[in-house]
Amino acid sequence: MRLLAIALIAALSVVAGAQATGYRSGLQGKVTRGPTSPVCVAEQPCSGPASHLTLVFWRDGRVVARATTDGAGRFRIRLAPARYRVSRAAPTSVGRGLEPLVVRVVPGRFTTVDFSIDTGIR
Amino acid sequence: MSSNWKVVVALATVSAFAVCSVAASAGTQATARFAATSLVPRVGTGGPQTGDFTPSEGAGPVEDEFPGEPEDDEGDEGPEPFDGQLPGGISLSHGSGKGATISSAAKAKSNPEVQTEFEGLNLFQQRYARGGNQFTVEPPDQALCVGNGYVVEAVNDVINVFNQSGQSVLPNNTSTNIVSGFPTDVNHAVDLNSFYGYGPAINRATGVRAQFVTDPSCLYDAATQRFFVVVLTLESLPNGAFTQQNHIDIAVSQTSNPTGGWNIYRLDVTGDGTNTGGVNPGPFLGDYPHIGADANGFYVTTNAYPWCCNGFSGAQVYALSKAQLAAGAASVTAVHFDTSGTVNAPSDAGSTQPGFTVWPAQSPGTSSFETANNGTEYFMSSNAADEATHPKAGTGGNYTSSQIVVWTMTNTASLNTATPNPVLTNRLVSVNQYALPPKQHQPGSGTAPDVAVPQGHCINDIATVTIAGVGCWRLLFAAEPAHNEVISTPDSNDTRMQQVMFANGKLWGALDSAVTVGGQNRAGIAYYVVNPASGALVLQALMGVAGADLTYPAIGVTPSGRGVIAFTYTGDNTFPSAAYAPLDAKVGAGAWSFAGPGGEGKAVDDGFTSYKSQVGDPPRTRWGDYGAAAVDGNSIWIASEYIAKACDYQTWGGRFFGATTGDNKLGTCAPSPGAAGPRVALGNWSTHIAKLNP
Repeated sequence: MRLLAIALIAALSVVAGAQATGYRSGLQGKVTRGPTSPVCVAEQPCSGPASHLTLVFWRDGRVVARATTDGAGRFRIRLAPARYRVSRAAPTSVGRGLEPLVVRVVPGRFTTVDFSIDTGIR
Repeated sequence: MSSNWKVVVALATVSAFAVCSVAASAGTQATARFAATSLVPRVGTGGPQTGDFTPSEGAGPVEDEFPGEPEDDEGDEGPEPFDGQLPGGISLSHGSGKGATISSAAKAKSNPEVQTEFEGLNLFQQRYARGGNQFTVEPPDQALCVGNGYVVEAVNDVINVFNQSGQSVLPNNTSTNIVSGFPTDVNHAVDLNSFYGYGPAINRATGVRAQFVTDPSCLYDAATQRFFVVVLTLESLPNGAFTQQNHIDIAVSQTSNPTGGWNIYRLDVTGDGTNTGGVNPGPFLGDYPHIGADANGFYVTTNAYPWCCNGFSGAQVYALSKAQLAAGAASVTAVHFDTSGTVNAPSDAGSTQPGFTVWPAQSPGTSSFETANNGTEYFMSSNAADEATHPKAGTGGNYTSSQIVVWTMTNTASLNTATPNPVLTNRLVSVNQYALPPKQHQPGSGTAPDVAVPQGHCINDIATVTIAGVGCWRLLFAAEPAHNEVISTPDSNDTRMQQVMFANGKLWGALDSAVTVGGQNRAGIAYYVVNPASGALVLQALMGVAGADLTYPAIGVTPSGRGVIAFTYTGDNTFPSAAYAPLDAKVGAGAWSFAGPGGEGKAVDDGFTSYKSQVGDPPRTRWGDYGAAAVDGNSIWIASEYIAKACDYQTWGGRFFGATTGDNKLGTCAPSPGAAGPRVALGNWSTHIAKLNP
């Protein structure tokens, strides 16, 4: 609801700051925000794209990469094979505002991982 | 203890009846926040009678409920779940066992036992009321009120009225409730769209949708002998798209009999909110409305979210004359307060926070109201959520706090005059740390659904012979989904305040919190008893049970101070259940129990929001979003979401698996077409109602 008005037709565009390059592995997927309605209905979406949102990837306590979603909430980023902690631009210490909070990149492929963010709407 | 007062100023901007009300005394700060008065019109009448509809004739499995295109999931190397540990965790275990033991040596002064219990409204009744022109929805959102011998229950999006033995006293509508060609038994339930005079939520013959009604709340006011049922209504286009206009619909029974006529008042909230930091303009969504009352006023509060953006636009507080509502006045003056910028704690918008889920108190009986300061209504809220700490960005907090907020509205008697002039203040009260709870665990969470979890098992199945071909998934999807669903971990609540009562001179409330118990981080309940006049914390505690999760507390308290906390109880070995614990202001909560033998859940949550192929990955399994407790004399009635009945895979598939018996609708597990079923294809929530005498 809060982001459904965002156009879904924007071309895929990834902004990756401090991003490792040259790897043939990484992550891709989409970030959604939900619930977008106080009650979810089986016949209509209960989440919407989280557009222009920056995901921060952490390894060994350091920020190693950032990826910003496009207008449709999609992202794609090259990363070395490893486990990463993920946060939004402002790190969170506890809680589930972003799910999942840990991802794993495997060698030689782009793993699809979708993230969700709690809007607080109930 | 903090004594950090803020005053919210109500200024007249539109009504000639309104006056300027500025209360800034020693130790207080007036804010620049403006509010307004407006006239809330009576827009018509309604009641628990089903409106017009076209019978739902489709014999398809679940008619039009298939999403069609499942999510493409190629991520077989999926992410590992967050471990859920709370750094420096809270470790206040309190009770355990099936009502048998408690770690505290003290005992609550009452040990109530369940006097009456019955299953209330459920998803089958919701989906197939009004001839099946309804939706499968999650979660139910529990509303309950009791008085004059009636038990009124509402959920998303149906209502029923029971006698105190649990039988519906609404007219039997089975013969006219034609679904897929058969009269269908929904235990007399009436859809909320009918109750408020709207068209069917969806016309199954045409696909046209009417208003989207949600978030019901209910209150019986013994002083006026009127029932109040309040919902948030979202205006929709015929294709279901929201127009963004939304209003609070206030239904007031015309007499003390809730089966008769009701007056409907409409309070538009579309424009009510603050453009936080200049980046969250309106219009706004008036989410999560809840209600309370004192001797003079009837109060509605909402959480205003901008439709456009990421932030939060403040809790909104509306105060109306209870007497005028009860009398059926043609219009009632509402005084509106925007709480943005009124709580003296820092946020990303500056040195103040907005209120968030400012829950108004209700009081038992006719003599428990606060009469000081020309009539006083109390509210409580919490401030761990992003809505409080990051209203501008809508994100970035750490979801923990050691404060709650007590709100006081004085001069409420003026609501019954031509110049209403109530004054709203708040103070921060220091409490023990509370934090966002982890999700609930139920038996088998994270493992593949077996035949006892039929929807999940169906999505994963590729071998069952069905009328749609080989593979049960074909009954639910047009394109093949990934067959990797697991039993879910239902949503716990966030840390927002839940039902608040003012009884025996004290303010009672509870919220969901993380709790470290048995070495695990689980969902628990923090509860508070406050002397609102002084701001003194009378009692607080964090309750949790090893191996279990407690969620969505609702406190009811009698005039003498005997209370009950109702909640959902789930466990590693316990299905989602309706439970309670006794409560008083001296020793706190006692040992917990199921809300009668029938309150123990019989299966896991198998709803559509549990599955990636239904709602995307990761799914957010909706639960709650709130429970309810209602005081009637010296009795307390409680209601919570639970899973009432089990249904195995073969019965769920029934005729769609080639059986010659069962329902002609997929997944109801009903024994025959039109018979009452324990569930629907895409979900299985139910509600449980119990009466206790603490």
